[in-house]
Amino acid sequence: MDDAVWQEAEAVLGVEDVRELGVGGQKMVRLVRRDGNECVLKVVGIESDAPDALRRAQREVELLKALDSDHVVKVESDLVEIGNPVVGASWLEEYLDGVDLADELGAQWSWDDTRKMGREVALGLGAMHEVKVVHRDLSASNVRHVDGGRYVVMDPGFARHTLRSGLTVGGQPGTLGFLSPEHLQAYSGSPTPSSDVFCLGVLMYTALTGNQPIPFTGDPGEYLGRLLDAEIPDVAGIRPDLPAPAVELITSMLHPQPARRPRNGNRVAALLEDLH
Amino acid sequence: MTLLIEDTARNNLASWTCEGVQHGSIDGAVLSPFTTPRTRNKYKQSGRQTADRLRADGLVAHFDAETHALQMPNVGDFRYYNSWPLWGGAVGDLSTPAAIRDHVERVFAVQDELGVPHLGPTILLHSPQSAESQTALRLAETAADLDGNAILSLTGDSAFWASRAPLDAHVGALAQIDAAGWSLTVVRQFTVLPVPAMAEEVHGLCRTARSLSDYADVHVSHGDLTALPAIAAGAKTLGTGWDPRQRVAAYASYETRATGSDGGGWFQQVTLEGILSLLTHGEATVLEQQNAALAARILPGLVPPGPKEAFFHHVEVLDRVIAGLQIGDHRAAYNNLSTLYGAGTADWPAVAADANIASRANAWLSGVSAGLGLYGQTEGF
Repeated sequence: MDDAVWQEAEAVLGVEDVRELGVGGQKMVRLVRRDGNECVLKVVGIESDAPDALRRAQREVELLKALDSDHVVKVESDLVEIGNPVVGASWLEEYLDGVDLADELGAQWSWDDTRKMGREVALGLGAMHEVKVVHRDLSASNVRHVDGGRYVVMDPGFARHTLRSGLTVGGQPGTLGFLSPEHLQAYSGSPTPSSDVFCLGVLMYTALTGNQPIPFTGDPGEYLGRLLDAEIPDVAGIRPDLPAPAVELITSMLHPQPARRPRNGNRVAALLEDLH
Repeated sequence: MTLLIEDTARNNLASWTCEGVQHGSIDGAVLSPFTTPRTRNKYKQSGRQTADRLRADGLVAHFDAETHALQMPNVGDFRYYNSWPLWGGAVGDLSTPAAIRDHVERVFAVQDELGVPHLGPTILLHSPQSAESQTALRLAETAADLDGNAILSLTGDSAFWASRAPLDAHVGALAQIDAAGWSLTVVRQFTVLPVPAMAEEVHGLCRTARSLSDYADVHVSHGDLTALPAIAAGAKTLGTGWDPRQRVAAYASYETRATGSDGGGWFQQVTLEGILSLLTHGEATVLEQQNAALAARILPGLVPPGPKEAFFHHVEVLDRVIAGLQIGDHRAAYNNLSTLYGAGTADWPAVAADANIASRANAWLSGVSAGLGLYGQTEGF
């Protein structure tokens, strides 16, 4: 993506550039300032033959803008098209300090810490699910642990829908190691809120055990085969200290049949609340 | 309540259903636009009359639009179907969201006219991951959007139900709708008994019944004996009747009929509870003559003398078996049905010897038993 694209995005959205936060492939993230406040500019390149993806992204940005959740990154602008013909899409989000969840995983977490993380991410997902938005790409890099201690869900799948790269065999956005079995499906079986629940189960399982339930070890084909089987080592075998209801919940969230999982983020949050 | 009586080409749906209540836990009957006319004719009562008759006896009536029959090859028996105002445009056209909505609205309007619960229409699926499955999902979502208390339908052929992870994903999408109830149908090519049920198809139906029944009642339309594993997995009711067309959902049931005959010959086969299989009336009579004790044990009782009594006996058998499967948890139900299949398989050689026939244990029990076994493995039983 050349500089002209994000420079046009900054002009269209009326923001002042501060510095680059990240860049990769067809995506660019920059810290910008608008009306004296810092926010994040996101720009994605769009292939000219993906108008459906763009329309879907616009719809989801519209829905997310209407959300008011402490646990979902705030979208602060409409999605705007860049170029004529369109070569990119851009929007503004709130700037979050802190660290990615990915930076905190590795050692085994306590149940209380895992429960807090799970509940807050579930609340974020639940807010999205209420407006019929499925994240589709929940991973440890898409959850921010901000300095105040709050967990915030970032990068809902709308961004990835504008990209051809990074899609799974089912045409879904997602991150290897954090996919649900439905990421392998297209048509009617593609990800639903219960797929986000599975991905949250992956995060909680990883926090509790230090390992992903279905780890990606470098071979996508081999990983997807294991994902299809969804055979997961029993969390209770790795963490015998966990309370039985906690084990039951984590296991249900990682059930290979989506209809057997808690239906959505709010349901998971309620169940975690009950596990106080 | 465990049984719904499926519509019949004969003119005795209400009368035998109402009488059958004395023999088993019959909830009511399901009317079909392919076999019940909207207005009375010289042979059959109208849909409204039949529904009223059922309700007068304290039973429920349903109306299944059977939109899924329109995708069957050689469907052509539209004698009664065209009397129902189910389509605003071309029959079967679901190509746009507006057409889908119009059809669902019309189905619900007909159900309102009959005074029956809303049962959303669906289409026949061969694959759970296809443009057609997307349409089926839209139909279900539209029905739920129009009436949050509607019962929804899911219909597929054996390949559909046998497709494992893609099936589970499709069911996962349907489960998000949070329907008031589900009606599941396995469609086959031929109206034959025993049903040629594949193990993996039975497994798929069990997984689906298990997952959807956590939140809503699940009915297996035209399920009969083949649906017992689904009952063990959590389905509440199954569809049955006195004719094979009521016990099997098959392409052949909707083909153009060559003559004006509605009923054809009466189905006289006898249900034997101990082997969960049917014998012809003649075979059962020979068995009874050769080994009265065995016959009395596995029927149980005496060979029913005619088709009506055979139906009532069938209802009694289904009712007892289902009641036994609905006591206890899922593991207990699985164990109970596994035991019944094991006992039936063990008894078949003696039945075959005394009735002087070749054993049909494989045809009646192998597929359903193997499918139940796969379900048990999936559940970790």
